[in-house]
Amino acid sequence: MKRWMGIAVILLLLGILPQVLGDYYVILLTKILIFAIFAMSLDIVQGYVGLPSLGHAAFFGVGAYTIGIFSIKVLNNFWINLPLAIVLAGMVAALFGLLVLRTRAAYFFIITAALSEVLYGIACTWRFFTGGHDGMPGIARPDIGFIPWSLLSAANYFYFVLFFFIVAFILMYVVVRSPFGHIIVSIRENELRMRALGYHTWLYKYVSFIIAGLFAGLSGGLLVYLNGFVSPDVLRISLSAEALLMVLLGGAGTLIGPVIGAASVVFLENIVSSYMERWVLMLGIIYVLVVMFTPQGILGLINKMSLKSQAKV
Amino acid sequence: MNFWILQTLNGITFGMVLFLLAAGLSLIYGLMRIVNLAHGCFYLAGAYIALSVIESTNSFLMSLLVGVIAVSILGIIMQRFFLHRFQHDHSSQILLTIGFVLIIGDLVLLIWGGEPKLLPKPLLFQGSVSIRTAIFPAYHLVIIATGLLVAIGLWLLQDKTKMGALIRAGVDDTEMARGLGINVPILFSLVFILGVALSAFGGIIAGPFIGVSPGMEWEILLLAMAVLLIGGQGSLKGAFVGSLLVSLVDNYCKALIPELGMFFIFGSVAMVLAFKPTGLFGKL
Amino acid sequence: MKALVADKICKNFEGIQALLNVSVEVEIGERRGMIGPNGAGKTTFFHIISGILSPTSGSIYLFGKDITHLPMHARANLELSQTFQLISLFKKLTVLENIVLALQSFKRRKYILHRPLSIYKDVFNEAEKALQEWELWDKRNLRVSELSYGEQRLLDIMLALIGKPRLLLLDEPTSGLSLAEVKTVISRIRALSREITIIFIEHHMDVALELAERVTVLHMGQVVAEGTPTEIKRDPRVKKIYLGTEKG
Repeated sequence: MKRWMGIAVILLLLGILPQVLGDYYVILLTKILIFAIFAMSLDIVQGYVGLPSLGHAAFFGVGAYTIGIFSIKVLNNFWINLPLAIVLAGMVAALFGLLVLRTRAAYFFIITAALSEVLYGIACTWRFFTGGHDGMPGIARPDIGFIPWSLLSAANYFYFVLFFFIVAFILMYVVVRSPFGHIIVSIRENELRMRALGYHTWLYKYVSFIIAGLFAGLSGGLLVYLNGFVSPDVLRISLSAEALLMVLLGGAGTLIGPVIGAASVVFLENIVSSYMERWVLMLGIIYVLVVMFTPQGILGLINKMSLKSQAKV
Repeated sequence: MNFWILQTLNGITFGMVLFLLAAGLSLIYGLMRIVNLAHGCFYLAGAYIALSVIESTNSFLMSLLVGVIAVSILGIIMQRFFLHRFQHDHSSQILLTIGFVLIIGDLVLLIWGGEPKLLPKPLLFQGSVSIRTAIFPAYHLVIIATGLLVAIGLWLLQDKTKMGALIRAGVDDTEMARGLGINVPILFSLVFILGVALSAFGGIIAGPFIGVSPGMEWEILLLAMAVLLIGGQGSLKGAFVGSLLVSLVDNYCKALIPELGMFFIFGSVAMVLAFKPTGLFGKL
Repeated sequence: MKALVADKICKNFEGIQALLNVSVEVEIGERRGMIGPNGAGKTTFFHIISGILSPTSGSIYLFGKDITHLPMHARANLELSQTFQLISLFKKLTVLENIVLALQSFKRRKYILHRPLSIYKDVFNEAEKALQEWELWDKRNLRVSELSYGEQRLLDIMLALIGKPRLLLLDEPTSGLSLAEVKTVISRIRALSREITIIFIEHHMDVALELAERVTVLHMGQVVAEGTPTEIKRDPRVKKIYLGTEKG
């Protein structure tokens, strides 16, 4: 009961805030939601399946570039382009999954990075399609058509993204709670026994990988609509590393943790940087402190504290 | 023709530097299964510290000693006080070492500024050598010779000494090694220091050759990891061959199509792994 | 038709010959013991039967079907089941959750993504029945890590039996157990129906000879002797292997 009330309060807050805050902060909140989707999708691979990935930006980037390329060169119709971005990202995940899922965990880490770098290279050189290093500017916000709102305002676009965030969260939550989700976690715990029990473990990992890719593509597309342009930076390892940070900082394998992590990282990088010149140093120190004192991430810390307070009562 | 000879020489030279890093990384990951993303930072820190020492003492030898020792101390602190707690926890290692990369990277930026710097060459090797019609800086050959010496030294250490046997035993079966009375924690620390020292050493001797700049810690880490993937983790031979391969590809690409450098390197990684998932000489 | 036919199995590990021309035939319903000194290759042989390893050469037939290159999970679906030397449970889950996990593997709903696990009552009912039978029902909500070693081993074996296999491989089921626990495990294994063929690796010679109807002796990767427990006890080659090992 408490949980639902808490969620209701948060949603209410999210509904009101854009009306109260200035554009800069609304855009920041929008970014947080977009990256929260991205981080949750990574959590499925990293936290639930248990394979640390440094190449998740690949699917983000595919989603982003699909929106970019189709909006500018083909047809500026978000009803077609956004689903297409999601599907294409999923297809790339299906392709990459075939290549990477046979390797051991530590190699998986680097191979996924390798594959995303390959895509980065393509984005940089395939100038005709992608605009090369400079990227593609001038991407318009989606035109919803039947709804009389324009998505040009920061607040309206925020609500647009909020809708997708809620849908994405619910979908991923349902998957994680289903028999499929429980099996995935058990595969992570003891894959050999699962195979001995008759589970086709590779298939489970593969499907999870694709699901993660789909949601990553969604978030990539949403970011491009926010920024109005796309550049090869959406495919960089640094973006994957940032998402990794969000998952680990918030608490892997919890779905909510990455949301907290995304909020924390975006907040730290944007707000802290405007107050401190040496904010990168600060960020590094925070990460070290988090690992040393709460290895389960921020969510782990919250859980520990709430258990303690329950015990006291 | 000259262009290609020069590029090849550059490639081999850098390959030796890369080997120092890759060997260190292979030791650290191979023995202790520690994912240390800060490995490139030791290279960076070593080079910058050496730079300062040279600027004040004019002695390359001094800078080499001070640099390696200082970074080794940094490495011990990192391992003993922070990393050792997370023995099998790769996620925490990743987060922790990323934190260190950010800290060290920013401190370096703070102390030495953002401009790329080139270390001065040691007086002894400032000349050049000519082979056929091409003229090379002598220092390049010094790096190559040093790299070969280190490679031989490591090979002797691994195959011919007791410590080497201990390391190999530890790599193969930590539990067993512990059971045999081998002081595993000390062994781990020693190996970690060796890896760190190699990385710093590489950064310092590469200083006069390719210089140093902020951000290099990531680039060089990626290259070293590519080497491990291609060459196969756990194999000295693999690290050597892999370093040369990656370096040559990197060099040729940088000379021809700079943007596709990483693409070709990691494309090669993907190809090698498709056919031989454990790398060319990999044992596991 | 035999339950298991292993035909000239060879396994090479980078120059080490782990198994050489191992040929074994096990009848349906038989209780077959595999013994031999450490390193003889017994577990390696089991790994090849279950699919963890592929043989360098040779074939495996399960109830007449060639499974030599079949993936591990597919063999489980052909009613092959096993336990490992080290107890291999899901430590963070409860006893009940472990059983449910094993049961689910044989239901189509293991592929469902969109409904929560808790609504599938029939699985829980089956789990209850099995746990009652093995007297672990009272402990159903305890985490595996809270069970005694002996109870964990029983749960371990239960997990392998839940899918009603026709061939059960037990790798050292009594290792690390107290005398009383060993007795419990033996009586449980004895009580299993003849519809299940059992092959087990045992280090306790007396347990092996007591439980088995036939015994295969492996030494240095080769079958050295095979026969009834009485025959094996008297076999001079077997004595030499074990006495030799004790002296050295």
